[in-house]
Amino acid sequence: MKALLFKIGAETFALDFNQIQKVVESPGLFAIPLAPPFFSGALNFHNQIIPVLDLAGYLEIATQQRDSRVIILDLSRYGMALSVGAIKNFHSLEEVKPLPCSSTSLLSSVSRLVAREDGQPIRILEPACLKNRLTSGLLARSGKAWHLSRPVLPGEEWGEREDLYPEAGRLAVSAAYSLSIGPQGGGQ
Amino acid sequence: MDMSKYQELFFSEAREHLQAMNGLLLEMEKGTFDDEKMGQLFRSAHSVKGMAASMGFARTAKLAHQLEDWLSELRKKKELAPQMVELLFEGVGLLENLIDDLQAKKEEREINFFLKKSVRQKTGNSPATLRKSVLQQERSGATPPSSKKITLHIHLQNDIQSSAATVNSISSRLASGGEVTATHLCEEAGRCRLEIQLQTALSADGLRKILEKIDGVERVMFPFAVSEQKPPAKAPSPLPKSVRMSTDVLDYLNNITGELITTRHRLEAASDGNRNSGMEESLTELARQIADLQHHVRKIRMMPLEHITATLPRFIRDLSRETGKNVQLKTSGENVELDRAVLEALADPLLHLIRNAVDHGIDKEGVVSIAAAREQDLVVLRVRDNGKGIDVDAVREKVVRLGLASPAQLENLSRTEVLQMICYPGFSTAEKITNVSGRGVGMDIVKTAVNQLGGSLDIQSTAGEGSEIILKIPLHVAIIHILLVEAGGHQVGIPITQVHSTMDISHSDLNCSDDRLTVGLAPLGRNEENQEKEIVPVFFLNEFLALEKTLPKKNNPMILTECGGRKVAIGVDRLIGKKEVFVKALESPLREIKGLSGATILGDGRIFFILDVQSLLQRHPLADAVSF
Repeated sequence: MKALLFKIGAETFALDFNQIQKVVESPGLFAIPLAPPFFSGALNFHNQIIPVLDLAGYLEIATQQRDSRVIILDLSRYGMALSVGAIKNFHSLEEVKPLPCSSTSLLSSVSRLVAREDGQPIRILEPACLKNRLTSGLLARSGKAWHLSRPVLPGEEWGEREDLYPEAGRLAVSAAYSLSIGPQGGGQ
Repeated sequence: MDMSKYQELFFSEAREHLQAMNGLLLEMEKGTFDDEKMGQLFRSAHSVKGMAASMGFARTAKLAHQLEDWLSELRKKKELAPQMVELLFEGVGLLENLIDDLQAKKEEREINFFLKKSVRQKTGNSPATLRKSVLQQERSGATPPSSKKITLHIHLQNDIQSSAATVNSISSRLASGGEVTATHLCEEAGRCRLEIQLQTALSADGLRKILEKIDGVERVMFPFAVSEQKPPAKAPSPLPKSVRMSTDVLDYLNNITGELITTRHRLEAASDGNRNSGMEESLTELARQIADLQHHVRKIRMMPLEHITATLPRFIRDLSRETGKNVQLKTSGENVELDRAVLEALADPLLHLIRNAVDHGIDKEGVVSIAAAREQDLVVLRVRDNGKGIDVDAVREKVVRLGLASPAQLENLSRTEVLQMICYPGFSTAEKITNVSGRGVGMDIVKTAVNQLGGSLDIQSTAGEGSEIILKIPLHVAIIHILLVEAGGHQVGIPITQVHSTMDISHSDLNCSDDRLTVGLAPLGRNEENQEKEIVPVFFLNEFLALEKTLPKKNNPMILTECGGRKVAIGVDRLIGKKEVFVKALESPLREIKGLSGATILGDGRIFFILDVQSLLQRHPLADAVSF
């Protein structure tokens, strides 16, 4: 299949050409309030509001590099765009051999590991799986009570609360999702 | 029930059916017997009969019934003789006349002549030989359709022996071709002329043959040949006053109006830099015209609540039987109008609410009441039952059991807040899942639908007295007023329907107790010194958005909103202004982010997200005012 190759950190990914709508230079993104930090923002594509998923952030792959372009997936099926480390090139992937993968990580639930002709391992991203995990993750967030810190009055110091509000993300806004969510209330 | 608006519908539908029948008859006349077409004819007649009967139009119903009967027989016999086509044409024409009468608010005209005649027609008849073109419409009198009344002028010879004898011969001859209805002998300048009025189905040629070779006949003059005379075409019925329109067109109109508004804003933004008075004037005019258009489009889309409450009595009856409880339904305000799309979205949730009331609220017998009322830009829908009320302790227990909150967190929640938790997916206080509800999806569906419509849902309940679910839904969808605010450097929109008022609060007015910020608000309109103030909890929008740290400043712009029946103040960085925008519904995955109710693209391409403040507040454990 004809695929677009891109890298996130040390991992190389491939995305079926048929699943891509367009690759565009990222226009200004607009912050999505209340969204988890792995959403870089939303872009206006032909009067449609498209969320951009920071794939590195979502898959928890530590890397600072981001390509200035975004991959807009087939909107009718997936309705979102991806921001990745570095977009490489289109490549004809033939004869890939699936590699054994015992990991149950998020990474392996949205992509399958295969070996290229030259033996190099490559992950074929499955946008459908990605979207499913994403939406069920978002839905799971509902119904849980929040537990916010108390509001601060004038004169008080914010020092001890630094950790609650880590720095904003790189692209537009990366909402610090450190508010504890869940019945136990997390550490603060 | 007000019948007048249904009358218009009846008229337009009935005319459609009759028009269809005419068309079918015309087609069948040309070709052979068509089973399918006969079926269509039958169904149309059947429909007209049913509609007329339910409207109380007796003669129309009776006539339609007659046609239906004939059509039914003809279908069985699988034949359609020309004179039957004739008869059916006349019947349809007569039905159209009856509709004319009714629409002109006159009494339905007599139809017995037709019904009688038709019986005669059925009992054997010489096949008409001259059925080719459109029939003659006889509006009065019992004329068999296949024969015509003509007047023959027969000139007798000058030297006629006995005119009486000749007349006799002529009459008896003609009798074989029809029915002589009148005879008149006149003398003109010495010549005898016989005028004979004859009811006949024969053509001029046929008559000529009969009158051949009668002694004493000099000449037979036929009138301007009836069979060649085109009968007066039926005047087209007046165009219906109402149109039926596909709902797609309605949606399209709504959307295009919204886009017009966006474009208008764009123009305004573009012209702002250019103080061109000509442009300004036109823009103002344009704004007015678009507002007008929008108003009319909205009107078209409005439908009374009745549309979804009409089926409820039956639903309640079935529910009663199923649960073995005696439940009564009371409705009020069914004539309140809502946008068609909103109505559609509420139909299912309404059923869920009633199911819940019957299943959980009412023990053995009770009353479920549905009341709708307009409050400015909102429709308030209240579903109440007089059952045992919601057991808050049971809810608390279930919440802990399901892991939706810890006991510690629950302690902080007000009663109102705990009640709201019955809307969480997977929640149900039913012991076992019954047929009707208890699967725990009902309230979640209602909550989701209400939120998607940009409305709010409140639950009130008193043990032993009953429960009330209050839905507040904006009147119109897709085009809404939002209040643009800035919080933490980002701009978001809040639907005006969720904003009670805005105000500036200085930080000296803020109080802090038990880790909660509050402000004392004087009741509107009163400025007395010692007026008791309402204590209202204060939150900062930044906290919800978790964007940046925020300190109450010297002056804090705030939005006063309502949550669970209580007022709440939300502080923002800046109040930007009001805007009328076209809301885009969010698609997955954005749709799954709770707290977002939509987004809009402004004229300059900027995306603003619209918050559902109600749902944000409801998920906040501190959103309770009980302990103050």
